[in-house]
Amino acid sequence: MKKIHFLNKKVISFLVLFILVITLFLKTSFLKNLINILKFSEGERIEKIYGFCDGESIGYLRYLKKKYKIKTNPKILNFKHTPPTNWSIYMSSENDNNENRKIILNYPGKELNIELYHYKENLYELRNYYYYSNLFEYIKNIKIEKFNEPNINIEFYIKNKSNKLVMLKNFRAVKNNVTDDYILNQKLSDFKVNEKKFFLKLVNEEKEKKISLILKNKYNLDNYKILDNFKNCYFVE
Amino acid sequence: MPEIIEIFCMLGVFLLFCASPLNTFKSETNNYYFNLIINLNFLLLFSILPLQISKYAIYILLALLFITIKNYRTFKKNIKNIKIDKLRITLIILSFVVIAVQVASQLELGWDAKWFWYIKSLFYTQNQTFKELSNYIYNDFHPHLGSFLWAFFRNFSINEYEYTGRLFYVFFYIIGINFISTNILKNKNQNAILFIFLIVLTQKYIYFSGLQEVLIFTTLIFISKFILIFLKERKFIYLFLIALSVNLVIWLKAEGIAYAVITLLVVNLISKLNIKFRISFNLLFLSFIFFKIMIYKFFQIKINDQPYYLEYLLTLDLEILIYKLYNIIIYLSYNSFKNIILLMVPIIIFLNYKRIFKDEYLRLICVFFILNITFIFSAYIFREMEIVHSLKTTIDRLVFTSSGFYLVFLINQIKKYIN
Repeated sequence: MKKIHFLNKKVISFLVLFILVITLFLKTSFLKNLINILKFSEGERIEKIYGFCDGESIGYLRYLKKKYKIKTNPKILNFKHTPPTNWSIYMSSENDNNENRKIILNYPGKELNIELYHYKENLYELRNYYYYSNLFEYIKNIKIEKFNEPNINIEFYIKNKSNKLVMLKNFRAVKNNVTDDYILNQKLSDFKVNEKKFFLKLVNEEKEKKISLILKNKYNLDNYKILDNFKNCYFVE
Repeated sequence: MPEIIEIFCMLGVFLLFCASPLNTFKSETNNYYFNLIINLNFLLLFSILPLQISKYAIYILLALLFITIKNYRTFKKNIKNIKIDKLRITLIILSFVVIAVQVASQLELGWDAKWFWYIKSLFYTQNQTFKELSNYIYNDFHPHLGSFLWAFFRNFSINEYEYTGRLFYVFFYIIGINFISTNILKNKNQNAILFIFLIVLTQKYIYFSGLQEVLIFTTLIFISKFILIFLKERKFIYLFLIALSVNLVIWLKAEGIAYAVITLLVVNLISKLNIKFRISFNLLFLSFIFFKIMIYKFFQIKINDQPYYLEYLLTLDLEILIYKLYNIIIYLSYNSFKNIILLMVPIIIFLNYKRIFKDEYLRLICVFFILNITFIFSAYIFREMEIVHSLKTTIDRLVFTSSGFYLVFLINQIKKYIN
């Protein structure tokens, strides 16, 4: 009887252990990962994860490094908001400033249209302002759907440390009847936003609207010599 | 297939750092763990020297191999007396391979790893030294030990893939979990269940994505276990190992100093602590801190480059404080529920409040917990950053890091309950 009881205990222990091992396998997707390693090389896996000329575009960066034997740290400008990408080709022995060449990833053209996020009432947020202010020179126009007034009052706000809105500037924008949007020509560097949240308020316009900003790019490819290009990823000088 | 073989080879390399210099063939001791802590402290010293990794890494490995063989030959006869837990060894290898395969397949680095941890490791990989690293713009944020280990172990890889260095983080974590789940319950099978259960509970890919939290988490596991063993055996060697572990923590991340100070306070609160032990431990602790400050001064690295300024503290008004406290409580509670380990600690302390003055370990855990929570709150209150963004992106990792210290305590409670 005792022996059966002991055996039962042992079987149960092994069963629990087996279930836990299977759980670990499932939690880590072991088989999927194993097949992935056996089927694809490290370089292919990197491209699958980070994209070739999409998202972080690490595939393109690695391709450039290999093809042009880059031994410096060219400035990388990624027009898709992603984590830093310079790690993939970084040369620790080189000073970051000793290079005129630039790598431009996911280039959107001379202008970019960004839809604003409706925060509340007549307040709209331009998310990742700090990131955009590094790549774009100014807000050219504002597009407001289903709005036909000849002009509109716009106020710019940031959120301070205690989560309160502080007005930076107010502006009266006039409609451009040809393009059907409102002219702003507001330099992004004029606002000292840093990493705070940035908002636009449409004065006296309570209804929720679809609003987008047209940003003017700091980088015009016409001013550079293109050394390499794949889709909208460029290596320029 | 070559990558799978390489994973096994890397495991062999890592194991050598557990096998010597202290003899592991002598008897069933904890020497494996002591060796790991000792060797990591040696590697820390090497990381500061003006030597390129490629010039000395292989000699370190050969020296360890030589000592291991020598120990094996000397104590060959003893090996027959050592009961080898085959099930446990299988599970260690299995869990390492499973997580290593995940790391090799998913490859993606964490945000901070892309930002600076990996780049710091590249300095060593590309044959630079600590001197050149100290000129790197983001070096002052955090210390370098984790990045150095990444580069050091990558050096042994045949293909030199980036992730092979990170596999050491997996190994260190598994050894930490193994340390606290050995000889806890009555039989080997139950201990094996506990080992796998803890891995299932705490393992996430993000912890091995080049972020340093898993290294602090594991070092805190070691510290907590050494404290527990010291309370039972009262041997100075454990205080010495705590000091060595604390030394690792302060070189892993900027917040390591907070954990180091909390550990110092906790150790000093141990009752009936031999005065000689107390003085020696405190001197050791101070000498490690002093050593770090001297190194930073010498290489002109800022001791604190985190966003904490006296001017900012003076601008904090009641409104900001309440807003910050409100958000910290919300996010800390949410992440404690997600992590569960941190949540269990106050519950167990509350259920055992009557024993708090009788059970020394419970009392020390209670002190550590209070100081730990105080640290988490202060870290966000006194930090000049947008609080919600800061909490969203970091508090889960902070909770995970701290939970390493409490795992030993929770296991001890399970043990008491089962027994």
